[in-house]
Amino acid sequence: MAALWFWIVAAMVATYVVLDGFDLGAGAIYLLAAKTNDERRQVLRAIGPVWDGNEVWLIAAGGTLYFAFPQLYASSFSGFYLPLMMVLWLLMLRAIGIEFRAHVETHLWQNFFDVVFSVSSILLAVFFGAALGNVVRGVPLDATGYFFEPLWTNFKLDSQVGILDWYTVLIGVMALVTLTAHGSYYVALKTGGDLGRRARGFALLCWPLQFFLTFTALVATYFIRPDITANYSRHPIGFAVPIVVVASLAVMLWANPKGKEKLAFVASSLYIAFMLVGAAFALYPMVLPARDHVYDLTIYNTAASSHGLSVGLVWWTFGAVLAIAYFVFVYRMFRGKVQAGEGHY
Amino acid sequence: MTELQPPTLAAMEGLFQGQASAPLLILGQPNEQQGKIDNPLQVPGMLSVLTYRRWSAHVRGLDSFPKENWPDNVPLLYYSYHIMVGLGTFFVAIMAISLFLLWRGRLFHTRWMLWILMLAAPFPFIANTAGWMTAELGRQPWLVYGLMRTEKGFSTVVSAGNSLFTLLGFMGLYMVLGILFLFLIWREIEHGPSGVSDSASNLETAGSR
Repeated sequence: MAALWFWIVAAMVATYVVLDGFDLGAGAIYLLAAKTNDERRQVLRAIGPVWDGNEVWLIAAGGTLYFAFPQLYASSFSGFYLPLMMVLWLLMLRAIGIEFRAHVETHLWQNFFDVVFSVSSILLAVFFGAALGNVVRGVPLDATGYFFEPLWTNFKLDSQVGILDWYTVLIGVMALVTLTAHGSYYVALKTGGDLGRRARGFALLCWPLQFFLTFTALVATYFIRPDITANYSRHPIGFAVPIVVVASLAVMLWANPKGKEKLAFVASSLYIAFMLVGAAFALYPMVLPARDHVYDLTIYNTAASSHGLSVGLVWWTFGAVLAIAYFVFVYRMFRGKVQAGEGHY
Repeated sequence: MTELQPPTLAAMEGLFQGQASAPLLILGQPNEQQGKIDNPLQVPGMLSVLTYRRWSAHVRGLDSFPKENWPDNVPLLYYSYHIMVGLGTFFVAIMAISLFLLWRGRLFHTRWMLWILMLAAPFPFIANTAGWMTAELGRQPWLVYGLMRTEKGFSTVVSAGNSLFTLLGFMGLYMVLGILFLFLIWREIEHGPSGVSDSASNLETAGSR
């Protein structure tokens, strides 16, 4: 039961990153790719009908985490307190940036909220990457199952780690580049003209960075945590992950200049999903490794009781089916390129 | 409330001494030091009727519970509850009168009622907040009622300074949001309803042909 819920939570987190990732990426290229008011409105209309629903997957994943692994929830949300609050503020600021912009037709108002939207999107991508880096690197858990990390110490990985050190910053930068590319593919898919062309350019620019950072991050991860490949050697099916990751990188590079925007976007989604699945596969059954391995949080010492998990599975399935059906409906309703002209944004 | 959280009910209603045929307190200031209500305006026996549906029922007061199970801040809880209920009663009253006027077709010409309705616009926000305060203050000193006390439930690793920082951060962000919201709402109200005058004049021209 606990193992099943581990994969459910991992799948929900991956869904969130693939979905809200393109909203964050669109925000990251927003100021540079969209130069006129019309183009900026087009970008906002491209993510407009779906960004709020995409963000809900974060809440859903967090709620499912709370339900299935309450001790992990308690421990990580206490230990990562300050960065979590900052993520909350950034999410609020991103929402404000998108929704307040259209209400007053002055340059001052609109430029201000444009910057708020873009900067908060960029910072969110970095924070999420750093969060993943922290989970992989391990945190200073103690015997009580709790920990607390300052925002940074000395950026080295010695006895006193901070939330930001060279490794987590590297993963944060990688997340930013990945999500920027992902958002660029989405904007290219949904818009045309100069804006679409510029978005494709951004995606092409990100590709070598993405390629370089993927391998650098893998090497760095192996360097700080050599046992990361243990699960892969034990279960060779895991080698599907690097194969799909490399293949999707190749498809992204090939499809983008050819104008096959949908294929490039799907490849980017697969890249993100499989990178996260690969991380989950490497971590299993740990949910939050500790710097001192005796105090690791695993699915065994953090899961809720199996009766609760079984009852939850029934309700979760019901909710998940509803959510997925609704998402398919909304995306189909708003398919196709964004039309110029009137619109809410 | 009477069954499941009796100390909260007693604190909310300002009932310091348990008694049969307990009065419903309309106005009055709770005096925690002396355990009584100053300047009470009461309806005799009403609390017993509302809670147990019998005039003679005995309602437990705060004195039947040990002091450590009382909500931390009895006066604040009392006032929040009374503000919420007072405003709620006011809403019922103005809605009933408005409904009557609407039924008679006179609502849109009764200026004093329209003024009251417009000025009453912020009150639901206040009533809502007072209601939440009642709920949260009333649950104290428990985090999970009867099972876990608040003092046992906080994160021991998060320092008070950290919490204060984030509290101030949220207050600041919400304050800015509130000001922006009021600004935007004001602009909308100033702009007025769109299209009503246009459609009325269209109807006139259509009818006159």
